[in-house]
Amino acid sequence: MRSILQTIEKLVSIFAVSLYLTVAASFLILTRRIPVSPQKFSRKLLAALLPRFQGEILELAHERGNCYVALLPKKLISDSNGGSRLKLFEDGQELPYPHSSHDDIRELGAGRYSHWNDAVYFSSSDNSDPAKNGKRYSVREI
Amino acid sequence: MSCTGRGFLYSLLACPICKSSLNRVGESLVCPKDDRRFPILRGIPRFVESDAYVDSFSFEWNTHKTTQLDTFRNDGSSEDIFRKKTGFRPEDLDGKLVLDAGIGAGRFTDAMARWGANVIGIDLSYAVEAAQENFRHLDNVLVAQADIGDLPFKPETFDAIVSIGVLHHTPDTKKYFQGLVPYLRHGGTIAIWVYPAEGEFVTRKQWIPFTSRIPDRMFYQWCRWFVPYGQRRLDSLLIKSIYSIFPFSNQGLGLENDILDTFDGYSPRFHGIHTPQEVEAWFQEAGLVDIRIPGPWNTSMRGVRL
Repeated sequence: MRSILQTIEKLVSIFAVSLYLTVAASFLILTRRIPVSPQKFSRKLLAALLPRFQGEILELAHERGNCYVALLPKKLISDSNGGSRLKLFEDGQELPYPHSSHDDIRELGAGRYSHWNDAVYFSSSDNSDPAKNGKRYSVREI
Repeated sequence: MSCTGRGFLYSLLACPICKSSLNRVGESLVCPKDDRRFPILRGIPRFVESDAYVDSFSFEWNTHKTTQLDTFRNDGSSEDIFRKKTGFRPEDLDGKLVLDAGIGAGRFTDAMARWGANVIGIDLSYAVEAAQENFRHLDNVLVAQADIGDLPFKPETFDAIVSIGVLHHTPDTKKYFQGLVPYLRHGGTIAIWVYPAEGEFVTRKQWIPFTSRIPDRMFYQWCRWFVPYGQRRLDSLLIKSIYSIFPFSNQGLGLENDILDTFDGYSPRFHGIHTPQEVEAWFQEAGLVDIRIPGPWNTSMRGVRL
């Protein structure tokens, strides 16, 4: 009986403190006492709570060198606004270098890619043209 | 009288008001001037009637009596931090009389006592109960409950004074620091570390008006749940987002240390943050010389009294 009461007390504490801290956090963010952008923070939080995105790349365009670009949904968090969770797959195999610099993608290629703003900048594993090499490209947030 | 041993350390205690030496009468220390009595309860001389504004420390150190003490951890993590924050080496303190101003459960006194120092550790909170339990077997350590702003010693008593991570929890960091200096002998060294005005310390300061109002037990239970939960999911966007506004401890010294440290970071009533320039100015104003930052923490500083 005592241990049940202790467990209830613990759960009530956790719930009440979590609720209180959530209200306090909202106040601190909205009044900018904590230096994070309310828009960015709420976007990140929303992205964390929503189901993770996955889909195939059907339309893409050549950018420069080995680099190709495909548009992604705007709601995703990219490396430009807080750290992308996106992985890029070539025929089901994960490409090896996420978060690459765009110059490296253009010059070195070899599967380097970057999720930036609302697009993925990428190269194929053998630097062939992904629009013509017959391989299937897909993305998934992990 | 020999300058070692608990009897010697007791002899250094003085009336906080008039600075007269105290007489021991049974389980009390008595001021001969005005007959003021200071009880010795559970082996601890008490110069305050309560733990005033530091109840969260009373709670945390009696919950985590041994978590940060090297003797119980079987490592040298606290000694390493102590060396880096104070610049003291064992040979500097061997046989010396040291005041640990804000002893807590005694993580740094533990190191100094091993080095052969005679240490008096004082704390306003009931953390003294935990410290007494940890050091009751040591003849070179005396624990007393007292206010840093109202010390029970005569001026120019100590060869060294250390106060690591304490002064920023007083109502006025500078005033309390400068109040310590007169208790240092000429040629003695004082070493402190206070929270820097940067990074997570700035964020935490914003939280203090909210988190310090949560009842200690409730907040501690929350920390016990949240810290391990957060640490297991540090890669997730949700926890990363929470961490950016509510940084919690992940020091690599074990989960118990991180729960304690998170509670410690958010629960105190006062949370001063300071720049290195500010701290250096306090040392200069106090007339200290040979002022330097001894390690990688830029608000740890030491100086010598001329």
